[in-house]
Amino acid sequence: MNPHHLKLPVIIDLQPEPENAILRLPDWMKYLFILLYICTLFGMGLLLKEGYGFFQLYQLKVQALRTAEQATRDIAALNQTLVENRRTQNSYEQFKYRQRTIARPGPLLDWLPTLVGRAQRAHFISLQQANDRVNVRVTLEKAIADSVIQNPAPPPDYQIVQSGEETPKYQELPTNQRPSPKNEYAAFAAQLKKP
Amino acid sequence: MKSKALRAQLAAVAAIVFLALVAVAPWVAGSHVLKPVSVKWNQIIRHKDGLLAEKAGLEAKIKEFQNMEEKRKANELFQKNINQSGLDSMQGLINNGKYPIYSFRTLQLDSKETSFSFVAQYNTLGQLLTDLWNTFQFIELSSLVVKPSPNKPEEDVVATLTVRLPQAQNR
Repeated sequence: MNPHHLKLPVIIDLQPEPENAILRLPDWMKYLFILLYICTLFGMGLLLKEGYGFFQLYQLKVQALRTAEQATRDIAALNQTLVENRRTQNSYEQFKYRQRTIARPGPLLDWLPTLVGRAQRAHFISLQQANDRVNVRVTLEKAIADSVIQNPAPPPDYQIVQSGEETPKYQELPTNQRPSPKNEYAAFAAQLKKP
Repeated sequence: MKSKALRAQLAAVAAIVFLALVAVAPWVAGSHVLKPVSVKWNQIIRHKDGLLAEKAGLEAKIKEFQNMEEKRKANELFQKNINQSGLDSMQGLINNGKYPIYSFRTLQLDSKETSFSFVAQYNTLGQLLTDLWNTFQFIELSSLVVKPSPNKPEEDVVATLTVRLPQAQNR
């Protein structure tokens, strides 16, 4: 048998089209489909737009996270610096205050010679400081008719609270001298105050 | 035939529902997925802005402090001066042989006050007091009594100096 004369079998398995439509949708439904289509298109457009914004926001967020981490580290360092600066400033001010409030005897020692007149001689000098008050006593050797200085100018940074002549105390006088207003010794006493 | 029609109707309803879901999906995704995440991310960004503002505020506060390095060095010097203002140091300065003084005595009055007594010439006394106060900046003078020396009343004076030694500062 010549193989060229063989015929292939014909298989007919196509499902025939139904003669009558099984389901017929109402006409208005095509408007529904159009509406759904438009809605889908707009939704996709909107999603695309929001997606782009979302992506940009994501980049900003990633950048913000990095910046925030760095800023947190910087803030910790700055806080430490600030605390240190405050401590340094505080200590400095305390030191300066302490240094300022300690009465330096220089102005007072410079002032003492002004209490002694030309014809007088300082015999005993006493300077006592307590808080902002200073008590000064100078026992002067002078002529009997002479008197101690009246209303002297105060030393710099001080005010004179009271000053005047007093009878010298025993220990302020030379040996064998008795306290008496009629001898050659007179005491100048003053109380000074820092304003 | 009837069951075929029913199946077709169900398929149509399912298809319509599916299309409706597809139409609504982008809106739902925008409002229920993207928006909450965006809110969270915006909070992160706002937090970052807050941190930057805080950092700028701190920098401004730090700039208010001037010459801190110099002040730090000055504090060290001050503290060193206080630490060195001890009784031994003061005695050493007064009685180190540089100043011609004699009859030097130290009397500890109490835990705070110390009295130094010595005989010196007027000029020596002035120089010594100047150096003393320049060296020990934190000692307080309680009292100073100057009276003529019994031996040489015309030349020498007996000076009694009562000072309060500095206490360590609470830092």
